[in-house]
Amino acid sequence: MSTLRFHKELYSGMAVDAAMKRFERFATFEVADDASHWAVDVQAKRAEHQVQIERELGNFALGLTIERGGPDVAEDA
Amino acid sequence: MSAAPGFPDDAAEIDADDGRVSLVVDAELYPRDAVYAAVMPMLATAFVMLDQSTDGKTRIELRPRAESDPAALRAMLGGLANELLVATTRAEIVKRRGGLLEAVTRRAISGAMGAPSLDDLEGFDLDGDAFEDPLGIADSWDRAHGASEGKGEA
Repeated sequence: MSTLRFHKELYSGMAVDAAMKRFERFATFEVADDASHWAVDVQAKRAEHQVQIERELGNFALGLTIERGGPDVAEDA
Repeated sequence: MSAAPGFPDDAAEIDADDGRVSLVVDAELYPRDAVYAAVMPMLATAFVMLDQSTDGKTRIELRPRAESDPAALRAMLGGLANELLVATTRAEIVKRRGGLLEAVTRRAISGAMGAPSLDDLEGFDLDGDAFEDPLGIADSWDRAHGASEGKGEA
């Protein structure tokens, strides 16, 4: 299991959620947050996919954040 | 992990063993939107992670999807730095010349809307003077200087 940390000023929470949803068939996720980051524990269902899923999750969350115009956009928009 | 040639030691790193590069930039000089614009095209060829430190630095980490040698990693780092500079410059130009760009764009779009429709023409006021012509430019030559009678006759 690894933990990815997404800074709240760089990543949208909705984008991180959507990315996790996208990969939930392949891994389980647990999210915790502190003042500055969302910390996502990633546990791939098949160990050989662990690294690939972590990296794709990061890209997906970033791509969606950029599409949304950044984390400042109202989360209910 | 090694420093990247051509970059300040604390700003860029190349980790050839792990196949990744990172660049640390000042968030005030390189705003978030510029970072987004710079990394967006790279999402197809690399895994990208961003982070921000408490001292206002943004860390960009790229890990090429394909296996890469140190030369390719250096090229990727250079490409990122270039993209970042271009995106930042564009953002600065938009900030400074936003009004002008908006006016030009508005005019271009209104021109691209094409000829007025019949409904638009119906609404035109054709009774009043079309425009002022103090220099008489719209007058024909004959009207301004008299008819050129007989001219051109053999």
